[in-house]
Amino acid sequence: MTVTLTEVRKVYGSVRALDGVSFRLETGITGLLGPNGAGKTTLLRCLATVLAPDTGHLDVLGLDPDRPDQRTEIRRQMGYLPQEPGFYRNFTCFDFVDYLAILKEHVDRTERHAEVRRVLELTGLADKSTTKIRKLSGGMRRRLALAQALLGSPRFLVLDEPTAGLDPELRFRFRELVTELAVDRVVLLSTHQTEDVSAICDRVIVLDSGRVRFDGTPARLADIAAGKVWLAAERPASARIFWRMASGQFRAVGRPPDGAEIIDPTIEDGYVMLVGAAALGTETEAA
Amino acid sequence: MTWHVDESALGRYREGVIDRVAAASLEAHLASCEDCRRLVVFDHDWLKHSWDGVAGRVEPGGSGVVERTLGRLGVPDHVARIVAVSPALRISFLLAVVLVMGFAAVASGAHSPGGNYRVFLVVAPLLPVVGVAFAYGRLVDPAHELTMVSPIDSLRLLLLRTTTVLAVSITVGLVAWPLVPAPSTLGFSAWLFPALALTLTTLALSSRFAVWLAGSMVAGGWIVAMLFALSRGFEAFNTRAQIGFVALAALATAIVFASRHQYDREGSPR
Amino acid sequence: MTDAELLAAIGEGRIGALRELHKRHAPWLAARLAHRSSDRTLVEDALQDTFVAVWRRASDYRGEGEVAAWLWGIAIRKLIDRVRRNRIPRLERPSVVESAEDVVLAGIAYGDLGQAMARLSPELMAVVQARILDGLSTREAARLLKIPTGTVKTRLMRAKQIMREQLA
Repeated sequence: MTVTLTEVRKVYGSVRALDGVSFRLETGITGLLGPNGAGKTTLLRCLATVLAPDTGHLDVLGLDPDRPDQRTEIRRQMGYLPQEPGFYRNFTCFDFVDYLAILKEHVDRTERHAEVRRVLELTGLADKSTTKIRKLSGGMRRRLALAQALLGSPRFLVLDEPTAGLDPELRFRFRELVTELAVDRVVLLSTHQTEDVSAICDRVIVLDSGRVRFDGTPARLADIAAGKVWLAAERPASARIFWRMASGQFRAVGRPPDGAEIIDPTIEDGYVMLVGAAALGTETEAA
Repeated sequence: MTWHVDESALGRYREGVIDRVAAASLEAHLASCEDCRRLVVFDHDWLKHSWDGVAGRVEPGGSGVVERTLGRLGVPDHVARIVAVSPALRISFLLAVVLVMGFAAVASGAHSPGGNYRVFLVVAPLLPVVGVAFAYGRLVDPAHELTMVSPIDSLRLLLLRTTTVLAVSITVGLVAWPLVPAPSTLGFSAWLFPALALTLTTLALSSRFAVWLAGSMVAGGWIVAMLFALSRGFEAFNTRAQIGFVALAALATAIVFASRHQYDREGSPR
Repeated sequence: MTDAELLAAIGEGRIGALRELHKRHAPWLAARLAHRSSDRTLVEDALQDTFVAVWRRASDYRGEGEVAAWLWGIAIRKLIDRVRRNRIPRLERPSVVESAEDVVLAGIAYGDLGQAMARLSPELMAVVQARILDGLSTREAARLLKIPTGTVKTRLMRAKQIMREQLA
């Protein structure tokens, strides 16, 4: 089971949202990192077959989204959590997911209702099934959006910022859920949280200004900053980014001065080195 | 509570081998003792099954008027739900349609001697267009993205809702038409054909533009064209005009068919 | 949460509260219903009817008496409805307690009364159970037991007479 993009481009006016993106997704969880405006949502929308790229080729589970009948088949096997899922605020959780189940061609009412209850239970919303959406918190609505993405046990999951607004406990439960699902599915997860990436992603792709800057394992992303993270007693001058820790010391990422106390890099450090470099227009590390 | 039920008594009760008096006593006690109620043994699968039955009846929301009406007309419930969800089919909107039509009818009649039936014939065909614009699309449907991404063909969805909007508009129009002081040469087709033509044109344009934009363009174009025609004294509702509207409707239908795969995706075809 | 609090939550549309109430009360309600009807399906359906009714009318509970007793009142009537194949559920007002004897008979401690009741034949006992212990009206008891209302009245009178004799 694979999903492949080849030289996908999408232009909006003068903005090159996607500028020749190519990669291949396999079973497991792939994280998509990138600053705002990097093109993540555009990319996810192309993968979700909602948006047609200008040029380039997509292959989703062996099917071609440009062909209408295959596009429908892709949609049958895919679950999509958009960045801004819209809700019918006066609907109850149950009715909303039920409606989306109808859109996903669950015609038989008994089977459909059982499926709705299954996904509500998976996302911990069983007790809220009769609560109106307008009474739900942002985090719960996000879970509801995730629940509808799980309808029909799709083989391909496209999740745009699924943990946004979730408190740590819920993020933890989300990770549990997704790791279990990803055993035999292709999951692409776009996020701002590097902890999500280090916790559950087998692979990570870094997107910036419409281009792939990195495509590899989280460990290799961290390695980009190997030898470039240090502790300083005072505000470091040659740091790309730094902050003050509770101990009073500064943690800096960039070009360490001689004799500095080098520490192990995290994924975030690698990400900063990568994206920071791109923003400055200097040479970047190849994947 | 001076005494409580003992487990063996409960056992005998469950098996039905307890005497009637002891049963009555036990039952009365259970009705007011929470601790003893907890002693009642049950099978977890049974409890889940029982709960599933309750939840199955309690969780799904009641269907609205529109859904139930459609159900009675023989429409399968999943189709009825798709149709009924659109904002255009809320009672408030339907009421608005009725009011505007009625107002237009009355206004045509009330004006000058002989009335100005043209007011009705300009306004009324636009109502289904507005209905369609409110039935589908990012502007009016919060779940538009999820709707587009679903396996159900978006054009089919749009057509289902458009049909319903047209059906309602035509019904209301049929009721309002007798009020309109139209000359005897003009039949009901005088507004039906323009209504169909405009609605289908909106659908055709929706393959390229957002539905609300398509509807606005059609409405704007229609009003401009009508004002122009009427100010120049052109007869916009005679038989020749009717033929023109039918031709437009046919052309729009052809375009919709040709573009049928472009409704459920954004972005230009390559 | 207490049962009364659960009912308040149910009134607000919180299904989790109904589920908890179901967990607490379904087992004993099912057992008690099963002692009124040997038809398992009927009992299951009546049990579900009960909780569906609770979902719709949680606000009807006015806080008088135990929630459990209120639930039983609904459950037994749902059973009767099912027995009659009556599609339209009606929740009749519980029968008014008529006399001091009824008050005593409906009491919790059964001591001497138990002995007295043991003297009753099955038919008389059934009427006592329906009218006094389950709180049904004469008409409801007649429906449940499938006997005429006149018979219900005479049997109840006879039963009370026997028990009075025993207690004297």
